[in-house]
Amino acid sequence: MASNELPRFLYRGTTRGWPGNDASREENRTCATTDPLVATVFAVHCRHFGAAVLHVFDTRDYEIVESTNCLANIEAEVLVKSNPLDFAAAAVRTIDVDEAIEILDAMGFEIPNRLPASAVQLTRFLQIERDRRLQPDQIAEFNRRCGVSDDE
Amino acid sequence: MNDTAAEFAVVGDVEDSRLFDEASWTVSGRCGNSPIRVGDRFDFAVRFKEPESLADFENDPVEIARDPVSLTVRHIRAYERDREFLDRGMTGSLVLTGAGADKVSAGCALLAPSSSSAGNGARSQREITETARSPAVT
Repeated sequence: MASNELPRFLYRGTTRGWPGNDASREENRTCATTDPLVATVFAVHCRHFGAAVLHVFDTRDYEIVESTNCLANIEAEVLVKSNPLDFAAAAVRTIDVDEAIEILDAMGFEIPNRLPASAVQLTRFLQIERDRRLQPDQIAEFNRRCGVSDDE
Repeated sequence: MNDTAAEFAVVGDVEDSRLFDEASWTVSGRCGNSPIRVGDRFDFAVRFKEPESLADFENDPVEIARDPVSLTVRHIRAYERDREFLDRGMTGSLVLTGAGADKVSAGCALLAPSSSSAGNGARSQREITETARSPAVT
């Protein structure tokens, strides 16, 4: 993704305080997505592991790297040059997973309210429902509803 | 589904690999709640019933076939690096050799019992403990 194609905000669904896996910490990178629906699905999965949240980040604050990993297209994945904890601490907004689900639901995007702890269903949902993604105007609406603005 | 078993959710099509002299195949997907290491062997390819509604995603998928395979992980690549192991939740590509690749397809899961997933060595207690609390978010 060229820098001029980057949206203003990135999203990460995770568990509050999750330091990331060993590889993320050692390589100083954090996975994020340009689609808040994808991030919310990850947050739903994270209910098993603690307080599940959706972080919103301002892309202007970070060096962003295009992800060429195998599921990058399905997950609208980008990589941020920061470790997961530092990245989370710099979120411009953090909302509870249930609030993110409510926002999506109000916009007409239903997602599962819970997922099994196994990563299989998470992965299958993102693959099978790969057309269930937000368009730029819908992402702007999501941002407005969760309290972030392009004007900030 | 056993949380401590090595599990790999296959997303992409199975492709022939030319990485080794013997027949080998590349599969892409996500590692489950236990790391997958070079040398690990998958014993089953599990196919699931297609979901009919969103609610179907909220529970473990319904198995429709569990085919025995004997596929060994020979190579791992993720985030533009060759790796000795694929950590919990990471997406990446595995190169497999052995028997049963014809049973593997997009949407299935490759499974190994935890005893064999240790692969190149016994799993540490720390690793076992962390397995129980590790999300697929890397």
